[in-house]
Amino acid sequence: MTDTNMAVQTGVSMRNVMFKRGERDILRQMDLYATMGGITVLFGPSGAGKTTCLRLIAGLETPDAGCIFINRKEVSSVDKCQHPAKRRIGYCFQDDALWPALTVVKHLSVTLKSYMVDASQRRMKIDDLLHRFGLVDLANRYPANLSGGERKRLALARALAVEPDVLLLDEPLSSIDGPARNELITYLRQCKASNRTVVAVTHQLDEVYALGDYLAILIEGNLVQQGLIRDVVLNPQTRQAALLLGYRNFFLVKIENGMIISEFGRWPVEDDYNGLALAAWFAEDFVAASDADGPAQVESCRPETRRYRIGLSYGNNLFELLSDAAFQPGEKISFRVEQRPVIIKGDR
Amino acid sequence: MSRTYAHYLSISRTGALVRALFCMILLLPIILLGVSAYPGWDAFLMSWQVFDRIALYRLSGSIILACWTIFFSWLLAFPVYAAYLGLSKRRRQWLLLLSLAPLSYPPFGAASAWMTVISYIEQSGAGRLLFEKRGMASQFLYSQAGCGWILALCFWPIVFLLLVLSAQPMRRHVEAAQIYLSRWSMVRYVLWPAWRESLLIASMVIGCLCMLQFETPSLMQLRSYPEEIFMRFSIPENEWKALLLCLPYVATAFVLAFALRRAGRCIDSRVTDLPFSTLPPLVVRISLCISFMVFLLSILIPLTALILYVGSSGILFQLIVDHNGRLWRSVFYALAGATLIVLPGILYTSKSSRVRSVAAPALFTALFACPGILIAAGWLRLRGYWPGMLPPGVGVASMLGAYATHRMLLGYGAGVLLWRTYGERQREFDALIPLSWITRLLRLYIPSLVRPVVVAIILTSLLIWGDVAITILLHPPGGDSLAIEYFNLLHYGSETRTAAIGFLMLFTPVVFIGIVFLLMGFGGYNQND
Amino acid sequence: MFSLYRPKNSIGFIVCIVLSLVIAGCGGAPSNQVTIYTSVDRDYSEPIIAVFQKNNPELSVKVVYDSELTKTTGLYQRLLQEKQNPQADVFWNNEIVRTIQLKKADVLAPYKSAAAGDIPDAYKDADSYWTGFSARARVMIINNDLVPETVTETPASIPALAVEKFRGKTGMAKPEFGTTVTHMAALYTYNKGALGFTMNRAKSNQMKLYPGNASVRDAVVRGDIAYGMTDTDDVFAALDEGKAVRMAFLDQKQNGALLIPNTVALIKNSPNQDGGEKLVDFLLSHEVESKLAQCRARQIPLRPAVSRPDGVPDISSIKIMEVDYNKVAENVEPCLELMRTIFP
Repeated sequence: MTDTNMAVQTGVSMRNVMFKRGERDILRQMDLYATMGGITVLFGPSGAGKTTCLRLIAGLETPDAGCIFINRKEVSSVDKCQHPAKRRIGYCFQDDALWPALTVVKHLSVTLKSYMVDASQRRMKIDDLLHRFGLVDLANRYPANLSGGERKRLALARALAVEPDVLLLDEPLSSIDGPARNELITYLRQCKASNRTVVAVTHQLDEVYALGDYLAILIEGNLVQQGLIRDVVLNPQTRQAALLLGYRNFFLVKIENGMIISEFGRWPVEDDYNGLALAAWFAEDFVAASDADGPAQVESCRPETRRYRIGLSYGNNLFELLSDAAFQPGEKISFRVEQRPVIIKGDR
Repeated sequence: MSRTYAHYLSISRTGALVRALFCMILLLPIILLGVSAYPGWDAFLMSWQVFDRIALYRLSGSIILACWTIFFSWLLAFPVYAAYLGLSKRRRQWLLLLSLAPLSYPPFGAASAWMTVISYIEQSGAGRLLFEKRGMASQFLYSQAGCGWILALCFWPIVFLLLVLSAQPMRRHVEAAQIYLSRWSMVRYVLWPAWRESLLIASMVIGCLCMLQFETPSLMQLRSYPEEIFMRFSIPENEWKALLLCLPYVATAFVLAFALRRAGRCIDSRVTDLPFSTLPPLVVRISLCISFMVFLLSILIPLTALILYVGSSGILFQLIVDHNGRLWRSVFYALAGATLIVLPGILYTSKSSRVRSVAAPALFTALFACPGILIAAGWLRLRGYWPGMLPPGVGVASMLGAYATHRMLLGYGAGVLLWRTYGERQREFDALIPLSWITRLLRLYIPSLVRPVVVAIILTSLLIWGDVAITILLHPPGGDSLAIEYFNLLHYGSETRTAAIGFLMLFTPVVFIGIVFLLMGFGGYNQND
Repeated sequence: MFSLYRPKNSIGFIVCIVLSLVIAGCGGAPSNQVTIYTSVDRDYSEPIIAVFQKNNPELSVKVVYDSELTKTTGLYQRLLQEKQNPQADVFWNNEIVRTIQLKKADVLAPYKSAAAGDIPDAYKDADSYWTGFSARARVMIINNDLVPETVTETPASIPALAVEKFRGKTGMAKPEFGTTVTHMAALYTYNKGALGFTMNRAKSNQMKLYPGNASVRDAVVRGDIAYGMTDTDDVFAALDEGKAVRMAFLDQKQNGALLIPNTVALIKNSPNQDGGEKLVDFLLSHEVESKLAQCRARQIPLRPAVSRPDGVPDISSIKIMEVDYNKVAENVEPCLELMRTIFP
């Protein structure tokens, strides 16, 4: 697929974007494509440059190299930066950035002022937003008197008030949990529209699954991988990405003539490669069995939901698995592998 | 309003009692003066006649003057603030330092300088080219607006400093506004609410300082209300009437305190710098030019007048040698007085900033607006009540006490702002640690707040630096200050010497503050986002 | 905003201030100390007190000066409020009304100085509570550039202030403070109706008001006005600086110019009565009057016998307003009320 083709389908694209703060590289050679009509989740550990990415898209920062397109139109490059207000973006800041001196309803009316001239239309729109986000009863409160979930909902309502082409969500679910979280997820999923590009940032894996259609993994300023969530999750490109995606067990295997060969079993693989490769499994792919002469030794045992998460040492490797029964640290057990691994191609 | 556990911890009954006691001590001199001057019931009823047509006329004159001054101060301070936002970190600090200079020069001196300059311009050919008609400039100068203009040239740094020190809106608020709002809406709904409180405090301070102005309006051929108070006070057995004339100040103080409470309603305790990108480069460039003009007018005009008179640096050096003792004494008075204002102010405001009383700021504002000479007289009276007990050396202590009584508003304001920078959550957390309040104060608060405290002390000391009314009444024999010397010389000294002392008045604080700032490594700002 | 950690220097800074505060609060007055409060400009009084100190090395003289800014109210209030616990021994006032008011307030102690024998009785209190010496007179200061010396007709009298010819050209200090109020009160004592009438006319004749006598002088020097009513000492200061001004004594064809003598008095129950008496004697000596006549202010000696430099007029050569200073002091308050209504 060529870049031009990509741009036709993507709402937001960043090409070769570099960004420095002082001497530090925040983003290196970033090529991000966020697809219109879906939610692209930027996923990575803290400090990976995720928020900077959003700020660049919003126009709050100017890139040091490369350019940024929104709906095929160039909005940012080294010497040009379209004003944020002209980009038709909604931005939910991590700390909401609600204006302390304005009430809930005033937030919406003030925001709408520059987008909607007709007052009656504006009133209808405000009513609609208040209802949609369950803010009707809070209309006259100040941000200081709103709970975390309510603040997020207001931030979201404000962002959607402008009917944005691009909606940027910075850690939309952080510091929200319990029922409010599920409720908020519903609201966030509703923000999708066929002509809208949504980019969300998170460092929590469960948020990726809860929100995302597309996934982009960002590690230390490098975009490691992007694509449909399932594609990315099942084909992590680096060990770091695999770790982020929840893979816990890594083991060196041999690939020969389309077969993965390891101590734990053999699996067919569609790959022309022959040689050593790193295979990765989730913890739940391993099953433990009580065996006093087993090859592995229990290092730790922590309860998790209905089961136990067991840490094992096996030779020089450390594995994790889930088990229905509890084991004592130091106990010898054996285990078997029930799923085929994914092969990490980037780390060959 | 939600009340937290820490909230209950921080306002104990003892604390409230101590605070009430403190306010009583501040009020004691005035009460004493009132009691000793009380003329009896009949005379009391008669004394209300002091509010006659003439007094009200003069009051209105002073109020109009204060309004002009506040208006011009805003006008002058905003471009400088805009320029400040556009400058780099280091240059910002120089700008801050430079802005202290106009504050350290008495308005009376500035007024004289302006009169000299205008008179010179009008009499020279340049004036006739500039102004169609001779006298246009002086017509402006000798009006309430003109006097307000001169006072504003001395007081604008108050607005600027308060904007810089307390009113930075959160960066994210501005960024959100950049995305969603038009420029005008950003100013109206985001910036203005964030500036509102600082502007109100600055206006209060400037308004009070204007209401105390007596010589400057008088020099500009204007009638002012302090003149009325002063006149009553100068007639024997009329102190009571002078005190009565201060009532409008008290009433206004309460109104302002209410307004302040409303304005501070939705203050966010987190403070960050405004980002550079908010202002287009053109705006920054224009405001830099305007700031340059502002400094030119507020420092260079008096300075030129002074240099013209001083002539050579030899005289200045000789003067510094001659006035060595007086110089150091003045510095000490100013710093010690400011310490006595700021530290109690911080202790006073050490309760949760969510709870804001009206009575305390109103009281402090009223005291701030009252002529210093009345407060000093009260302290004199207080001192007289301990015959024999007090050695003459106590003069300094009572003088510092009078400074504190007069200007506790500044300490209160500093306290409110400082605690806000320390952070509400942090204090609530601190309150949960089982430490006595004194340990908490010594171990947690003072080490963390020490730099802003020093800055607050220095700023407050600038307002004591030029004080005459209190110093003249309470300074110990042989212990007068540079300001007194300056005001005396203005009346009878040779122009050269007067100008040289004016030079010292203007530059000692700047040099001193410069040294302190350098020792402290300037204010280290964190500009991370 | 401020980075919070760098506390060491600053804690030291605060501790220093608090410590020096405590030290400043301590320390008592030695028994040989004589304290004098004076509203006489420091430039003139300081050398005189230095002479006394030199002559009496066993005494330690401490001085509190007043500022023109407080219009002699400062020391007056200080003495009044310290009545129960006097700190001063001697009050040397550069005018007379405040001294009389202090006598009424029971702040002064009677003392008949031997040195004051040859001072005319008009300048001494009948009960010896105060004694007057070296005086200033009320004069009109005239700008030589605006009014060449060939012009003899000047408004050097109170009624002339209302003359149309001098419209907008005259000025005086606000008649509420300082020597101007004494002057007005003296005129009030003479004829309050005439004073009210003249001042009303002068006001409509655009006479300008300044905060003090020095400002009047400066305004004349600058050329803002041509004529200003002020005191002799202010004019002499301007003359010394080489300004193109001259002076004319007021009302030479009417009541005469008002003389405002310095006054000196002993404070009741003062800490060092003996030292105070010594100082009063010294101040009333010929030496001091002569010194005051020679200083920049050129105070006019009340005793013809006292030597005086050229330029200082002989008291007998001026027509002097005859007033009872006690009455003048009494009339200050009603006079102020009148002035308020004229100049609101």
